[in-house]
Amino acid sequence: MNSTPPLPRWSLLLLLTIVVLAVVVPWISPWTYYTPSWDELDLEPTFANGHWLGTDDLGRDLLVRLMWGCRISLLVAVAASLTSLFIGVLWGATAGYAGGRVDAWLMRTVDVLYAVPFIPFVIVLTVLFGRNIVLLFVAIGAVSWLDTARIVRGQTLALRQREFITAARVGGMSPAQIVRRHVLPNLAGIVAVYLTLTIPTVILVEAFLGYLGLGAQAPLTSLGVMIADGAAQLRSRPRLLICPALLLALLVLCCNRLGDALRDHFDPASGGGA
Amino acid sequence: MSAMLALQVDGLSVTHAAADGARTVVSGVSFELARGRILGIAGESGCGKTQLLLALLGLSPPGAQVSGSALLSGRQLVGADRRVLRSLRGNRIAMVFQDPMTALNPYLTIGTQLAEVLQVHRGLSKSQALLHSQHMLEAVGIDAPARRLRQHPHELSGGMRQRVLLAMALLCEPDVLLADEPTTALDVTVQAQILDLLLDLRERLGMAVVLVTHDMGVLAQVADDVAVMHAGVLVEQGPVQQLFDAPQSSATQSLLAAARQLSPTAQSLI
Amino acid sequence: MSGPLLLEARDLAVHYRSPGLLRPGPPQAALQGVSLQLDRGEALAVVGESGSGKSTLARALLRLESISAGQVLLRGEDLAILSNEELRAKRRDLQMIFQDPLASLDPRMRIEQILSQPLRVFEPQLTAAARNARALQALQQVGLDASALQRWPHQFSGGQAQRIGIARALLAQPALLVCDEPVSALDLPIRLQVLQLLAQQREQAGVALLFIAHDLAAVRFLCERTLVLYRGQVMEQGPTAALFKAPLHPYTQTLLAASLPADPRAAAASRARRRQLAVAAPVSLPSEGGCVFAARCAFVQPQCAQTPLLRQVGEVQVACHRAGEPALQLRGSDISS
Repeated sequence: MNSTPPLPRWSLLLLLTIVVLAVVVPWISPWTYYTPSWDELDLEPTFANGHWLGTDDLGRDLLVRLMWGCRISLLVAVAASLTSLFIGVLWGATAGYAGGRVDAWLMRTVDVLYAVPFIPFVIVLTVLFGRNIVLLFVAIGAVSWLDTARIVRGQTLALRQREFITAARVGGMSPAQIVRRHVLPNLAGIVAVYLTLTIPTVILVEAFLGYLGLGAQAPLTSLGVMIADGAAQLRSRPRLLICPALLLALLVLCCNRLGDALRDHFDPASGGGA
Repeated sequence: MSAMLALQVDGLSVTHAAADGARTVVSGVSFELARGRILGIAGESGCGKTQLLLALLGLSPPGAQVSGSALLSGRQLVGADRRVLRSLRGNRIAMVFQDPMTALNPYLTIGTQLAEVLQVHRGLSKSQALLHSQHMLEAVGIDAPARRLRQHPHELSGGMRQRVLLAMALLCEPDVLLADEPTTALDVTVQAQILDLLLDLRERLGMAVVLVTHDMGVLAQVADDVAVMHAGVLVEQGPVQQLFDAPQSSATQSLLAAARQLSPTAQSLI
Repeated sequence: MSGPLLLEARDLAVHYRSPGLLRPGPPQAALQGVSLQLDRGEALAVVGESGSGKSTLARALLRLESISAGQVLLRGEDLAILSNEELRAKRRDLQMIFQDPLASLDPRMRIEQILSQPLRVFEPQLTAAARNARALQALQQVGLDASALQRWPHQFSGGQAQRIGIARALLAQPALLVCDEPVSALDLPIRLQVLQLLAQQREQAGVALLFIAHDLAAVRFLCERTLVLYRGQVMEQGPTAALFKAPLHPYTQTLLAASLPADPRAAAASRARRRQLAVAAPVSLPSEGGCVFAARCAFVQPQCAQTPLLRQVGEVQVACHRAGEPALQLRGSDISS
């Protein structure tokens, strides 16, 4: 039995560092993300006055705003991913295990929902419910569960053929019990991997929405909003774009790297899964 | 006269590199095999018999150390150059594996896979190779060989696939055929057919065969000589009748006891 | 024997249609007209090649697959009319062990959890401690010790995994244990150990066995009766000893001739028997109806175009028009005592 490959330490460490910073920095920093300061406009990064990344065009400390933006982005990403995971796994596992007409109906619904165009959908939601962050969770979660459902269904179909499932049926377990105790734990590997891959996707989608102006509302910010605003001021204040863009890239990179490693880690052929 | 010996193995050892130190899977194995003879190698799972065969072909897993000597009609196999080994594999020494389902490429036709061997080793054109392949399919007892050439592996039964693998191994008329538990995955009726086929082919082609198995009943049927392996070591070898009548080692005795109990001629109760 | 039989199958048939491109293909019979009886504590072997329908039979008996015709009666009760819940309750009596022992254990569960499952389902009133005690007892009965409880399936060999499978099946205290080729994937010495274990458990627990195999010799000392299946139909059935001593159906003879004796001196005779049974040239009979074995039979005659019915000949029932004729006796020494 080969030893399981170790999870990439640097990606994990970097990710954790970013998360910790995002939580801690706004707490301990003397500045807020929303208070403009007219005599501190456009400061360059120095250690002297404590503005380590300088300030933006309204005199707000860039580091604090960055960390707040990171908070929002991560919050949306994790919440949307978990929502989509929850719905997607239940939907896919039920379709895959039940088979027949239940499967057909469930998956045709997924097919229909795939056809719904995302941006117009978000715009319609905006019109109906106004702009708020909760809306973002809903919108993104409501769309990304479709992929999860398909993948989970495929895995469940494969699992259903395996002998320990037959053994469970012979053992008198009901279908719901079998799905809960046998199918779901065996899906854990692929679900974990998928989670680390959807998180960067959701972050990017949120960034995109922010860029379009449909994201978090001022003075609240997210990485996407900061990038959108920063892009508009690229010539005069490049710092405003570069910092959030770099952070976003780092986050996405870490999540992807973790996802790859988790996939190898959970591969039963390498002896993992114990 | 080493020219008469198809295979001459002397002190062959294989060591695998493992996370917790090196592991010796084959230790000092020596035996001789003359043309036209069938040598059976018996042993339980994990005794190293498969690793022995792989080492002869130079197919040990990466990081494995192979030492000793293995002469194929006088040519040294251990430590031989990769190109030399590649020219010998499938050509002068061939192998049939246990699972016919995974040993064939599901996407290519039987004909393509068979012809490939001749195209590579004999430089034949595809049509010539296919003709030869068709004759070989007939020789291994497959009906409608021309049609089979165009079929894919999944269209054939397990027994037929194993025959195809035998045909593939014999296309270049090798000096030695290595068979690793070739009938273990097959029904008992198909197993008997394949073994009878092996005896037929041995009579017609005169090749030497090394047959690895855990079933002494199989060896009683086809082997001329038997060697027994246990934990990587060759513990006993000799003519088949001698081993059955007077087994010396406990490994042989336990294999025989099981085979006898499960034999159709068994007298005693479980 | 008082009361209804433990298990009875009457004229069981299972058809399936392979899904075609535009519409389903013609119905194929995986099982046709199969009847069997099994009483408490008995052991019946079902022998046949791949494609004979033996696994389908096992699954049909356990209601893991739907039946196209016929009945399966458990203690006289028709399983087909039971609701899903009632059926699940009956599962207690019908347990199974599988061909691939490692695949039948959930790779994500420890042995402790795997063994406690049947107890959770069938004896929910037990406390966790009681369940543990029973699991431990079951393990010891199959020759494993307590250290196995905390381990994972992949840490065990095939033979050990099969013992765990047997322990799990027996924890439900079933009346019948269906064994679907449980030893085919194991080495001969291990095979023998598992068969001995099954024989021992049968004596101690009084559980009936339905043993499915492709090798007659493997079932010889475990099962007193045998049923031979070919392409979904019963060819011969009766006392195992009778089948060994004087097999009447050419297919039974083929199976027996294919069983290899563990004696080099008997090898030539074994081969000679197989040669007598080999078909010289493929015989063309009308493809519809007739004996399913005709295409492979060395003794086929025009009358075989009519499907032979199962009829009693001496101790056995056989589906062959020519059963018992002297021409069907193989030359050469008898295989068994």
